[in-house]
Amino acid sequence: MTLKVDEIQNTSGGPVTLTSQEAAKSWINYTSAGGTNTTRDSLNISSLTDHATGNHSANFSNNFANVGYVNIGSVNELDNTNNTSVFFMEGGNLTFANSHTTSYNRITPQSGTSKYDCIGVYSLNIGDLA
Amino acid sequence: MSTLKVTNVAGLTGSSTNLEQGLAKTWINFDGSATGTVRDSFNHSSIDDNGVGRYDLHATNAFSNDDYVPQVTIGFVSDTGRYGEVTNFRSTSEVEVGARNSGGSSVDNDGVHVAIFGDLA
Repeated sequence: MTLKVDEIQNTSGGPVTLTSQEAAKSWINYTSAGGTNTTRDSLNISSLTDHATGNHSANFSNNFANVGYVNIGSVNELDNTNNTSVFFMEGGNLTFANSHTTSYNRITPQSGTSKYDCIGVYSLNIGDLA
Repeated sequence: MSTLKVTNVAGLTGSSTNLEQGLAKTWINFDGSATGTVRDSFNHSSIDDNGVGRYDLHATNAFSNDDYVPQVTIGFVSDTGRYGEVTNFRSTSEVEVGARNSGGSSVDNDGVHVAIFGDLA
């Protein structure tokens, strides 16, 4: 059976509760190659802020209710010369005191602690919206 | 309260998708340093500290098999490069995750984020 609708709300007009499962509240696919952030596609992300090489913030359109949300991500490296491209969180959720409900930071280091812009940054957030 | 039960949900002009299979069945944000404080979670009952940089996560409602997909991201600490990992140990209700530094050694990390996708029992 398939239900076809554009929007589902609970009886009070708020978000519905999905029994034993939760949907991602935001996600983004963007490139930072060449030092310029370009969003390919996204959900609930209003903009990107470029702080420095390999250090960017994603700003939510609709904020999270608290700082306990989950941030998962991965990256594509700029070329094949570095094989340790990983997705980190910095500032946004590294410590409870530095967390934000309106945005989060991510960095994309390669080869140890050096930070690099990458051709592909992919992340999603799961938690409770405000 | 009313409960709507369907298998597929689609936009009026879009293709349908299996809503249940595409959603996260568990997620957790916790401090993996000495305190082990859980900031927020969904469908996780407890964490075991398996030593430096190793954590067992227990699901409240178990998965139907151990073929689920765990995703781990950790916080950055300026002095060392670090990455999250999923170890070889998993069952339908428990999975071990960890954090390592750039040298490959297990290290505690104060921002560990995990989401798991799969089929619940």
